[in-house]
Amino acid sequence: MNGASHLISLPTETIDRLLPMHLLVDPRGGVTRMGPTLAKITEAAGISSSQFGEIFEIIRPQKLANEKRLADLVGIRLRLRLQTSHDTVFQAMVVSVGRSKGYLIDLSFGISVVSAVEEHRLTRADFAPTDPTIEVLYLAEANRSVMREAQRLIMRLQGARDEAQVASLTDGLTGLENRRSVEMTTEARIRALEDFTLLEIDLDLFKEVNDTYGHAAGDEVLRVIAQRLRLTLREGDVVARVGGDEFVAILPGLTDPTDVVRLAGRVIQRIEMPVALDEASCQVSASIGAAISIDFDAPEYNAMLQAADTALYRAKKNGRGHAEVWVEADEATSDTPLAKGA
Amino acid sequence: MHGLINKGLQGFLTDAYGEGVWYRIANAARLRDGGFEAFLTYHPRLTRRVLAVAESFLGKPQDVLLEDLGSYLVASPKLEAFRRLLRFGGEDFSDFIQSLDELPERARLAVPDLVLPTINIREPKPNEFELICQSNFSGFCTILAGMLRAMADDYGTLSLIEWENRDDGSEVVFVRLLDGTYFEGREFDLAAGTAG
Repeated sequence: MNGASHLISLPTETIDRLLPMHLLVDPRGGVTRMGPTLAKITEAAGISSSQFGEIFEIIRPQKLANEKRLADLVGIRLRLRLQTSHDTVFQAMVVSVGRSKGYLIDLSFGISVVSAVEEHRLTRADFAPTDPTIEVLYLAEANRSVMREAQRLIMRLQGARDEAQVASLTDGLTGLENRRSVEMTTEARIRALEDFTLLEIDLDLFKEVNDTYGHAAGDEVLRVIAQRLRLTLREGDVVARVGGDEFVAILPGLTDPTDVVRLAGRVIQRIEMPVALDEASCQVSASIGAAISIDFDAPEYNAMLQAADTALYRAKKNGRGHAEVWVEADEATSDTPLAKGA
Repeated sequence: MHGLINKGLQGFLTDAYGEGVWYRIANAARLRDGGFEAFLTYHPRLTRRVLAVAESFLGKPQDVLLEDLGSYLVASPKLEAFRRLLRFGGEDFSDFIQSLDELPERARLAVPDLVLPTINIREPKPNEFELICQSNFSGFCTILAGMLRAMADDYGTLSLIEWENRDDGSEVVFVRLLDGTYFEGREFDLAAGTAG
């Protein structure tokens, strides 16, 4: 305690208990004794040599990798591994136990302890009672369990977020997409440099259905029309309800005005088919304005929607129930509602 | 009260009495989203409310429910990870009992914001222990008693475990180890938890 050096001698069984991974090596490098845990590991690794230099390989410090003289290793923090199995890495320290007696070397697993316990099937009895290895294993396992629980939580939240996202892109009444969704789809088409036609579909006579049969009937009509739109349009077309009785459809690849008018006409025909209500049957119609992306130098959702609106206005003015395609000449028209506000 | 404990209570009520019963309890206790989250902390009042509702729905005294909860936490195959973490506490049941004063520290190592009550250990006679809990959640010792019964089985040790509430507000668990009566407990391999 007061700095004086004491010489102690301990029975080897005691050393085994305190340092279960120690080695006693004679001055010529021959291993004369091994702690029980280290003996278990080397035996399982099929080691037959009893020369320290043949059992272990020094990996740090590198400059000592070929050092055979234990005297030169005394007091240096070493990292070793078995010559036969490179998976387990040991920390080691060599001390001299007297010129004629040789060396005591103590080993531990250091940071690789978790995989070492697994690989060598070690138990509590393989460690010194004072060794905090069991606590390290506890901590590693606790960490893993908590992480697993956190991952489950994240996956659940991710699922909830996906659902919320679908809900935020869907029109609750008809199940069609909504304004936000169709805008995102359109912008994605534009970014991908794909050509398409945008239809603005406005129901005619819908207000009369609401006034005559009530809002529940109006909702039913919207649901039926939504279903018809879905069936009439092609797979890959996108159709959204963007207002009370207003729909927008995006038709990828369709750029010929004649084809657009023909398809729009078919849509109107379908919409005009009678809708059966509980006690009555009613009929609505629609007018359609179309804008084709190739007619724009730099297509953009809002500009195309406004153009389709201009064409829609022209369609309504020319008698409801038909479709018009926006042409550049429409720009000059100043009496469209949107042009006024623009 | 930490979400992990509440989640344990939810798991116990669900597994023991069915999902339908749990939802009715959660509704009556006005729980948000129909359950607890493991990583949130809840006001102890909420846990009390769930227990009170469960007591009247199931017609079982809270003490019985808390003790069953304790056993469930150790014995449920769904909570194998928790059982293993407990087993790190001691080599045999006696060793485990004597490590219980480290439980709050162990819990904090695993989950930094998980606060468990302090447990003082007395050994008035050899192989007899008194575990005195100081907790602001009355009933903690009852849960502990249930856990210890299951842990004794886990270690394969016969023991008598009882608990009582003292007038000074502390709760005590009595453990008496019965000599020489060991049977085969459940396996505990140090490395088994590291795979996968």
